[in-house]
Amino acid sequence: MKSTLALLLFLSIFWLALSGHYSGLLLGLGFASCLWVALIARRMDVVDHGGLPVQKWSLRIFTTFFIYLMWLGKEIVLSSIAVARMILSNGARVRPEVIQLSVEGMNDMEKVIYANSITLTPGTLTVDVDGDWLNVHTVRGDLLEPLKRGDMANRVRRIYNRSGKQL
Amino acid sequence: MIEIVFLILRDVCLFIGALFVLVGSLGVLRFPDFFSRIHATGITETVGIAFIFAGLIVEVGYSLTSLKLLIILVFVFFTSPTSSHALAKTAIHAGLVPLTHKGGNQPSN
Amino acid sequence: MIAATLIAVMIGMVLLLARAFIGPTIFDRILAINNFGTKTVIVLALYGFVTERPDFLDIALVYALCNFIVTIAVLKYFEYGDLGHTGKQPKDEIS
Repeated sequence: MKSTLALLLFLSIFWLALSGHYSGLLLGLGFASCLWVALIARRMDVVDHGGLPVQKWSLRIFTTFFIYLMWLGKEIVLSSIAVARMILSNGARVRPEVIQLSVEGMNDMEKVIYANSITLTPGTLTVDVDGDWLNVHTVRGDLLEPLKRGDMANRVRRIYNRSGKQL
Repeated sequence: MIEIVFLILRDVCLFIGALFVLVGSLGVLRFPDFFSRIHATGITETVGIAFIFAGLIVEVGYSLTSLKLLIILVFVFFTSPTSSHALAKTAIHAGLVPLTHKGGNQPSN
Repeated sequence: MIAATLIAVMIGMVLLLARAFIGPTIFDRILAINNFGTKTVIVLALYGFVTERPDFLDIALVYALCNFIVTIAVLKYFEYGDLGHTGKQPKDEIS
């Protein structure tokens, strides 16, 4: 129930942000459609298990997550420049590799964030998740060095660990 | 004065974004195998679109339009790794083998 | 400068179309078309600014949604051969 209400609130804010109309009739119609979508989502049974862990959110997680996003943006720009230089240098330096990275001890949410961050960074790509192992494809071996050292994994773990409980 | 600074900032952002988009497209054409090409599209879908939209946000300033631009940006950031991952996984399951530099030969396109 | 960016992105789209035509495997084509869709979103946003009608951004948002759904749907059809598949039964029984 709590997740459905959160979904309704989110949809209403989203509608308000996108529409730009604030007369009475249109507001009512917009809220009605948000309510309708929330009811359908509840009936489809897709809201309540684990989509958005609303009750676990706190200000501290938002802060740590924001810091993580800043760091991730820097990494994305750096590796984009590396891949762009590879493209422009006649393709001779392309050395694809597939390696396995351990994600032992991470919970599901951390695995999702970690695998998505690896894929979002140009030059590295999560091909498959197999229990505690990620198959990572890279376009050149040295782009994987920060991942092998565990920089990103440690930062992902730090997002939740300060809040004590794990998701 | 401040307008000129914003104008220059906008043009620099747009220029960098256009450059990354072009280089990413060139990479899709030039890289030797399918799994490498996914990395080239990753450039367009992260840095290219981010810089171009940042330039547009600088252009409009605070308004509903820049909020919409931000929403599109966040949406693309969420969906692009998902579709790249789905592509790679489906290709692996369909039997496509990634080229590796150890025993691999370089195919022509 | 916005118009110049628009032209640059369109040149990129032409390069991607070339890859979509010559792509040896079907996945190359899907990849090229998916990235083509992302570039279409950029073009829609830029075109809205060139013609000074920011309403185009709504279309760009919807296009981004459609692009994602189309890619996932095509890949799902390719992997399971059935769009209504829930992905819960093991793959060996299907393929």
